[in-house]
Amino acid sequence: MENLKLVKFSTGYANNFMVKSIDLSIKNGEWLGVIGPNGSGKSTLIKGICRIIKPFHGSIYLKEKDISKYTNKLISQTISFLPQQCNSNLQITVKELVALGRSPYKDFWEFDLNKTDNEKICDALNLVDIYDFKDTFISQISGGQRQRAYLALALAQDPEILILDEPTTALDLKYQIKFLEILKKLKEKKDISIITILHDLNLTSRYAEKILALKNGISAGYGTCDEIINEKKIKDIFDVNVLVTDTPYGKQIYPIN
Amino acid sequence: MRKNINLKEIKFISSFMILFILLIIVSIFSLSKGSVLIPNKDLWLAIFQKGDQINQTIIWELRLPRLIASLLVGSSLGMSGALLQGMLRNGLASPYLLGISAGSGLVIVFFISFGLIQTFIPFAAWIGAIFTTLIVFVLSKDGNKIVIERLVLGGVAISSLFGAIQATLLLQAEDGRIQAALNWLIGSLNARGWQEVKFTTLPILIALFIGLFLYRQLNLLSLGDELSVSLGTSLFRSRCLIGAIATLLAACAVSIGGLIGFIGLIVPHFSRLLIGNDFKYVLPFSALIGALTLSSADLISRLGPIEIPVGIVTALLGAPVFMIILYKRSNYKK
Repeated sequence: MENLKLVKFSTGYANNFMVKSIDLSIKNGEWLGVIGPNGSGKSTLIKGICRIIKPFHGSIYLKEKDISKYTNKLISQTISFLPQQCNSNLQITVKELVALGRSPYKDFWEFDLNKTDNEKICDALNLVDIYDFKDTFISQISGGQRQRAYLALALAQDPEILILDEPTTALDLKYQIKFLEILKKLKEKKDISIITILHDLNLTSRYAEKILALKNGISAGYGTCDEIINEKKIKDIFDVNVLVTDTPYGKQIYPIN
Repeated sequence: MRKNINLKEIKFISSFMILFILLIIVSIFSLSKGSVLIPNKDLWLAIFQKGDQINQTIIWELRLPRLIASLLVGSSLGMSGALLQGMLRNGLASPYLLGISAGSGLVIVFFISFGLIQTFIPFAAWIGAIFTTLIVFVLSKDGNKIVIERLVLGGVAISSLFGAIQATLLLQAEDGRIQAALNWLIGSLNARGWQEVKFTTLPILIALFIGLFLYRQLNLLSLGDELSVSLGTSLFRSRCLIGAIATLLAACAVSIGGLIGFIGLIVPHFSRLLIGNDFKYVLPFSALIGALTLSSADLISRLGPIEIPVGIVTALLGAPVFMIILYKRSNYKK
């Protein structure tokens, strides 16, 4: 089943079109990588999908139903979004942070966590391997652990689509791989769809099954890794000459000039 | 691995108990001290409406309503400040930021300088505060969004406009009336009786109760707009609700005590210094510390040979404390 489908979707800020006429579809258990140069509209597209900014034209279908028919709460129960900057200075514990992920399932007057909430929170903490730090303040854990805590927050929403905007930017190589491997495991285990924006094309080609390339707010290519990650397309999108080779860990891109 | 959660709860309960005991002590002092000193034994008799008739009158007609007024006003300003600082994510926000002081101040000066019925002043101040904040909220609205910068700047602009009208009215007023107006503009609990308390008790208690439950909204907002929207928060509805409760609290406080400064600004900082910035604890602490601070300031204001408006005491004590907080700000997180 198609979890998410965009038809001629356009969005932006104020009256400025930043992303124009995008078509894409993601099935259950599929990973879409969004790539493109700085300012190409990657984050804007994602914010449009998550309804953080308003759509200008086109449609979004969530589980084959127009997203306008969903309430905010229902959208939050289906889509989890982790923005670029997740760095609140709230002095709360990891578990309290992750518990905020259950907010879409709570009414204004509901505060206590029920059995299902506690199970989802524990599941999320275990899935990202941070259960041992559940009672530690988020300000007292490392950057990599904090990033995993925020991922657990997103997972506690029990989403069917997980959208992450540059989730590995602040992480070192070890934690980048660890973080993306957790996502891969999640995708396989829970059959959720994942959309990531990653600047590292090697990592995108290693993990994503489909790639959407954006340039100046329009689609510069949408397809499988082989269709998008090649010398000609990369030159078109990034204006850089590259050499692309196949390895057991996905495609490797070497910039030439 | 640290078990912070237990420590946090223990710290909250123990600090809350200490502050509550302090509040009881200050309340007893407030009832017994003043121009007429009532010894402890007579105080208890007067509270139970026994013993000397004059003592009973002093306690029941003067000091008790004034004490209740100080507790209501202090807790309202404390929680209102905490709500607004959380909503605006700015530690320099105070309940008067949204034009409450300008609106109610203008109405107060208008009533006094034109010699209109003085008993209507509390209600008129309340209406002035609510009405001005509504204008500021309308100015900050952009479609279905509340733009924080517009909200703050709208408050500043309205305050400036109303301040100018207020100053013009004051310049035209008679000397005696200027003094009466200043008493409200500085903030005072002198001669506040059951009438003011009766009018505001219920809305304040309801708003304090609802305010306590806004902690989840505030914690979500402090994760950042994008993440809180992703978690199902409607920024517009959350900000309107938090702003409405903060305004209601501040307007009720103003209608009792006039424009008492610094409580709404400093008390939330104290709460955060004591208990951290989780709004689950900041909100009840701000209400409690606000009540304690204002009742203490009111007691101090009555201890000298001449009673001074409590607003002067809060400013005199609050300004240096605020400077110390600003100096030490790097040592704690907002």
